[in-house]
Amino acid sequence: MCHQSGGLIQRAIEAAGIPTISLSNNPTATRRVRPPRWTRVRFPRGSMLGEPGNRGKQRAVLEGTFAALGTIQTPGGHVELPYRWEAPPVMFRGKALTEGSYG
Amino acid sequence: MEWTAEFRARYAEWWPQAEPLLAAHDYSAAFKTYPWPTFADTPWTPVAKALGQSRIAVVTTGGLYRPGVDPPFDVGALGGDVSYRAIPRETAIATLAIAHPHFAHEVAEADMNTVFPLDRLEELRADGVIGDLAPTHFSTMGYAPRAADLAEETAPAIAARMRAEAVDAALLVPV
Repeated sequence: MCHQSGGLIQRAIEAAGIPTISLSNNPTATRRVRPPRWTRVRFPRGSMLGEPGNRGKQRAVLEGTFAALGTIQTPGGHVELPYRWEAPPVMFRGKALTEGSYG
Repeated sequence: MEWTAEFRARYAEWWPQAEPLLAAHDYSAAFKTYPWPTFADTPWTPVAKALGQSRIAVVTTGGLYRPGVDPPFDVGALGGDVSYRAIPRETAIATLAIAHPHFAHEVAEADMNTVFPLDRLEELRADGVIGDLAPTHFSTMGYAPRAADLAEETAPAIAARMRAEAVDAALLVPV
């Protein structure tokens, strides 16, 4: 329920007068909590910025997300980022994840 | 907040049958009947400043904290832990501990930027892509079923600290 928790915090920060943006690898959960702006990343649970040590990709995800902060004009809007997980799947509770949250 | 009273009532109904399922780590069964808050609207503050002039703060829900400095999050609490930790921007993120049990830690332990990208944000600052990094960043536990408490206590407290530090824009990284 990380996307719910992050989303609730994001809504409060936005309501306090600070524009916000979040990352999401679980659009269903994100849409439920309706944060003001978000980017979709297709990375597995526990690694929202890409592979460990991949500075270039992590930086690209951040720059793409900050760009979306500037371009999203509709409250609740999102941008899809094109990056994919390029490492072995992340194991979580017996499942091999290359994208998305578990459950 | 209008939704929190109704949420608390539904949470009180959910808890008695959810608690034994949570105790047995059957999250799937427990959360089948969880009263997920659902919103039709969203708060909105227009971006007022160019990114290159903006002071940025980041929030992670990965349950990160400074061992020996911050108290750990309560990982054993079936009802979760809605507290937050304030992480100074100078923190060596490799030294942070992870309290959140619901994700595989090897990736974050190999490189904490994957859940709390302070190093990458500092590089963006040094390159002039962002204007500044806030003195304080934030960590909470993703596992926080007491959504009304999180929304009414934790979230406004984090927002107030960001306001006090003149943060221009915030990045949220749910883990």
